[in-house]
Amino acid sequence: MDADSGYEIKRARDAIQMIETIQSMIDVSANRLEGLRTQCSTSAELTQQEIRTLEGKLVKHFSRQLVIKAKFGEELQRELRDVPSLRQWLRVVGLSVDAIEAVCSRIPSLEALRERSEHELRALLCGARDEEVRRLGRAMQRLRSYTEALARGDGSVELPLYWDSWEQRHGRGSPRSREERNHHKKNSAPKIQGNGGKSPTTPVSKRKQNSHLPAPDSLTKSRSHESQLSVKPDASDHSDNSQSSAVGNTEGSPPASPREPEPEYPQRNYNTNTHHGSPMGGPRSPRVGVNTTPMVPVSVSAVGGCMAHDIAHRFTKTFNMIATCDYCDKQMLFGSGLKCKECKFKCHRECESKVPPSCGLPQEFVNVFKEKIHKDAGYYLSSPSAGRGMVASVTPTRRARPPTQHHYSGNPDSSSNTSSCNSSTPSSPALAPAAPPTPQSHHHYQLNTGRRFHFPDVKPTVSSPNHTSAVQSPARTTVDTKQDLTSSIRSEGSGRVSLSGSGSTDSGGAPRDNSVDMPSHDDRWPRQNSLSMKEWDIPYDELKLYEVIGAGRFGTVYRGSWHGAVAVKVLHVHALNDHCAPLDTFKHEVATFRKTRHENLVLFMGACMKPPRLAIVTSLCKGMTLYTHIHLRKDKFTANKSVLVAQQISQGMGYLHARGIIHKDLKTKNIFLENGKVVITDFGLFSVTKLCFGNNARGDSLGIPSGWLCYLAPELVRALRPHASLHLPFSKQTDVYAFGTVWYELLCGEYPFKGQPAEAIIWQVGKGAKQSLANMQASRDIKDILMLCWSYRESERPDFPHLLSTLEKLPRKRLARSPSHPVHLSRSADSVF
Amino acid sequence: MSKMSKNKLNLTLPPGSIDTAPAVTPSNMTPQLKSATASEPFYRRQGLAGKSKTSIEALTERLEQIEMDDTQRRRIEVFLCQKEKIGELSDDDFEKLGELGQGNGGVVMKVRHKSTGLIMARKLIHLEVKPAIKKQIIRELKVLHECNFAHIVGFYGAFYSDGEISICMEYMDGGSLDLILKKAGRIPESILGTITSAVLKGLSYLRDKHAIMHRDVKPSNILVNSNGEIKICDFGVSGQLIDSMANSFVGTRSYMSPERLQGTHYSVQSDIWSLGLSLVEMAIGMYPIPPPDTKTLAAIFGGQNEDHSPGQAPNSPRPMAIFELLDYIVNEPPPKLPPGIFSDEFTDFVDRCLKKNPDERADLKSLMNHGWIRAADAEPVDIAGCKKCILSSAKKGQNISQEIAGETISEDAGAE
Repeated sequence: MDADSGYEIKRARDAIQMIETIQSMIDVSANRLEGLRTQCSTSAELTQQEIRTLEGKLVKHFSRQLVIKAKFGEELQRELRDVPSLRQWLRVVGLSVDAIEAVCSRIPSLEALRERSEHELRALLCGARDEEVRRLGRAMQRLRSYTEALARGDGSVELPLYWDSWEQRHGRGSPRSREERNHHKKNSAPKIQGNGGKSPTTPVSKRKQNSHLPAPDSLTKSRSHESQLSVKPDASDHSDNSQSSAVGNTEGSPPASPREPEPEYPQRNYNTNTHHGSPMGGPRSPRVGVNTTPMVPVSVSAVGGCMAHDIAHRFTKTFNMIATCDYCDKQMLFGSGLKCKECKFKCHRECESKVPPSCGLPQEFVNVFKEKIHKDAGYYLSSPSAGRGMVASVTPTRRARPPTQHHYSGNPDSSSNTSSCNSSTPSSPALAPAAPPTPQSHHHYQLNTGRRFHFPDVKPTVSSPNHTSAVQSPARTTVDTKQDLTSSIRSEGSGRVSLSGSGSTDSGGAPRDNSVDMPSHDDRWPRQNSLSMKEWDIPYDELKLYEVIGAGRFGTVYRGSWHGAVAVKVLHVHALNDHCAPLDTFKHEVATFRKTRHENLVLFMGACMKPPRLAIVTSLCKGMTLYTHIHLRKDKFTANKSVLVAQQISQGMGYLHARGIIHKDLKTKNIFLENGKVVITDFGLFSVTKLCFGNNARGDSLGIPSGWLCYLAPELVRALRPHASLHLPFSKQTDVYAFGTVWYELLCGEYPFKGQPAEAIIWQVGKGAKQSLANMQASRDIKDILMLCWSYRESERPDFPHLLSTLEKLPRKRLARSPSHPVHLSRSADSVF
Repeated sequence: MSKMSKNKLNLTLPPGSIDTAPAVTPSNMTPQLKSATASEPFYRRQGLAGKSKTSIEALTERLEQIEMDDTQRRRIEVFLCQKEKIGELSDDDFEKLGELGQGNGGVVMKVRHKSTGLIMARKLIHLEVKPAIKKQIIRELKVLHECNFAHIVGFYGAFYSDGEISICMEYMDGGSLDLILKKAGRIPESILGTITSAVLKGLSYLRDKHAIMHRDVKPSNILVNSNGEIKICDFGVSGQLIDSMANSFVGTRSYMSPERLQGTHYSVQSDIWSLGLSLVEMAIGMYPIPPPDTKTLAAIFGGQNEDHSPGQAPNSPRPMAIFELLDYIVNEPPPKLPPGIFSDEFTDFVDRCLKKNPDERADLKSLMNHGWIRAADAEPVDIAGCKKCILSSAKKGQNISQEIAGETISEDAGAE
């Protein structure tokens, strides 16, 4: 008996320990998932893959916890009441805060939730978007099937365990900002005057504004309203857009839903706001409800999230070669798409059902609408609204503009970033911003204010009778109206751009014209009439290409002419079909280049970004590459000269890193020497290889260009896989490692690990082996630098500013005496530089 | 070793031979060929001496051997005659017939030589190098003209055009062993014996006559044809070519020996490791690193193996990073054949090849005298015929007919 109970206790302890271990794994995976959804371009195939993998993992973890727990008696079960965490599970599933709260208030535990039928789940989530219902339903089904498999002892069974919890759409516009602008234009301008988008006070004023608003009404009403759809434009969900459900289903009775806890309010406000901001509301408002003062909405539902524009497309099959789906922004394969006869809207056949009846509606509006709908269910902390908070927080996801990346949007100080955010929002697929793991009340606050701020805007329109009529009439718009809309969009568009320049979206009140002098960060919008964009988007036809001056992995480099001599790197883009994500990456990276101005970096002049014409235009480097000097011409670099070159490289790289740009492909082939001046090229372009090599013809092997491996830090080498496209953990430290190799080449005139087969290099570097320096004739200090750069641990590698100062401190004299190059000594430095 | 081949080249080829070589080589060839074939009985004799067989058996075997040599010699003579008619090759001489496969660093095409109608395998290797380097490579490749041996794929010539080096080789209609393996699932031990014997002869020929080591022994570099010939190809004859290759491909399999991976000195012994690894792969039908678990083996061998646990940790089939795979080769116990399925001789042979320490590894000579090889030589298997039966059994009834040979000709890579 004793032994038995002892055993029991031990078993229980083990189980608890196990559950705890799993919990920690869940935490990690959940955080990562959250990060992926919010910080990465979820349109990227890779990200989607990763999300799926994580979802699968999480299902397994949760299932395991459930199974372990189920094996024990009441007592233990009670002890573990909170494990697995229902709340966490729901977050993992990808529900909005509201939905989570709604579920948690009714269901005590994950076990209980598991017992619910699909139907019941739907009922539970009655206020949520269809997308959420879908997610929960699917995730629960995954959880159930895997738990069952586990219980059968068949844990290794191969089941599909993912449920695709990313936001499945990518608007093209920056609907949010546009929408906000609309609001501001209409009525908020006075409040925000002149705050240039950066005013931290704005939120406060907004909040005040909002404070006397009625409590948000219930959003929770379910789609039961659908029946009204056809009759009233307000009936929320005209669009077949499956994600739109929750949007407009507001009921007239605001304080209605008692089950919704406080934090939801902003959410709801936001939602109402959303309706307003939806494409129809926005553009039309100038005519209809302009200047209406904020009033209490008579009935929010009158406008709802409906898309008043309700003209179905008339799709026909298209046989266009390649096109982009206007719905999901992905490439359409030959013959796989549909095209509307009337408005030329194109989409995948699969997307057809999701496309709103937006025939004739300018794309931007459709996007706004989509975006709205997607967003308003909001995410944990992310839902934000409109406030610049959200926008800012979203930004990094796409843009990945490194310096801004870590700003949390809610923070007023981050407004400086918001400008770029505007532009990012549109294409940003990830709606949920990177929510800090521990949301601070502060953030909430900010967000709330943000949301509330917009609420009043909504109402006016809503309540305006004019508006209503306007909403209803458009159903069968005349060409006239269309044009009208279009033009208004245009103006909106340009307005947006300018605004984006001017800072946060809050500054919507700022006059458009201001924008002119603001540098627009908006390069995401190749189609829009933004002057600033045009600056960087060089029409391919304007380029004159002459002879080929180089060829690399990315493409062919031509000497060209565009307002003078330039180098044009034309990217080989073979198969464009599946490669939209890399294309996005490309665009985003190109965007970062513009910001680089440094003596030792090539001058970026612009890019052609319309596939299949992808090209990067830079100033023309006149000298030869270090590679040519070292490996082809076998030029000897004296120690002094090497140091001078290395210093300049460090300087350029230090600048890049300070700008948050990782070179990813630092090598002697990318470093030019122009009369002794170092010019670094090709920074940040590496991911473009995915465009060119994404589909490796050989499928099961990784093509390794000669001389590439020895620039790869151990952590990169270890991550090489034959299958995956190159998704490597580049970092500033990996650049430093690569710099080490350049340094070695300068000193020794050859590659480290020379003559060894790729596999041997991979193993040795991965193991931490370094090229022996025994035969290298150089001073201790020089070798030390090399060894530091090649440190196995990234943390031990110096950064570039540090390297620079080390290099500057190198005693020249001693170098001069270095036995390796005694002959060149006297002349070297002066003659070369 | 690349140095070796370079030296070899400089010693054997007259400086002006670049243009005249094709015409010259056939005559050069014959003595080479003779000495090559002459060397064969030498090994035989050794083999026989070590093996106490009755004199009658030994006699018949030798007779068979001699007869075989005659056939082989005749074939080589035919080949050389054909080659003589061809002369210098150029890009215009060929008509593309299809792609045979992707080799290391290049694509292999099946082509027809227009004027003679000969079918060849043309390997194209993309190179962007200076003219001097090109010339050096072409010159180094000329060594291949002298590699005329029953178990070495014949060489027609090499030339440079349009950024690519073309190497024109004898077309092997049976394809490479990795393709056969893919179709057949795995290859029976008896056939592996015959294959191994041929490969060992080829390797010793390269080493003894040309001081070349192969460097890249693996199933895809062992070719067969419908005459039942087994030949090796793609050996590292040109150091310059190896150095100049723009891309190398690293895949899910590596046949590189531990000592090579570690960057230490390596020798022909390294080829032995690769051969051993290839044998295990062909015998069990899957790349043996990481070793398959009991379950997998049971699935492969239909329960024969159930009683045995292979002593290695069961490995879930997860994709390994390249580094992981290589580290496994260096640091984990070498792969071996699952016990109880193959003959002891074969198992022993493989174990001797797969010693991680190259000094403990058996050398070419001792392997050629290994019981398993001698047994295989004593009962040579008709590879062409067997290939058909392997394939047909693998296909379970469909296409059993003779069409298989034809089919493989069209589908398989002939040479690479």
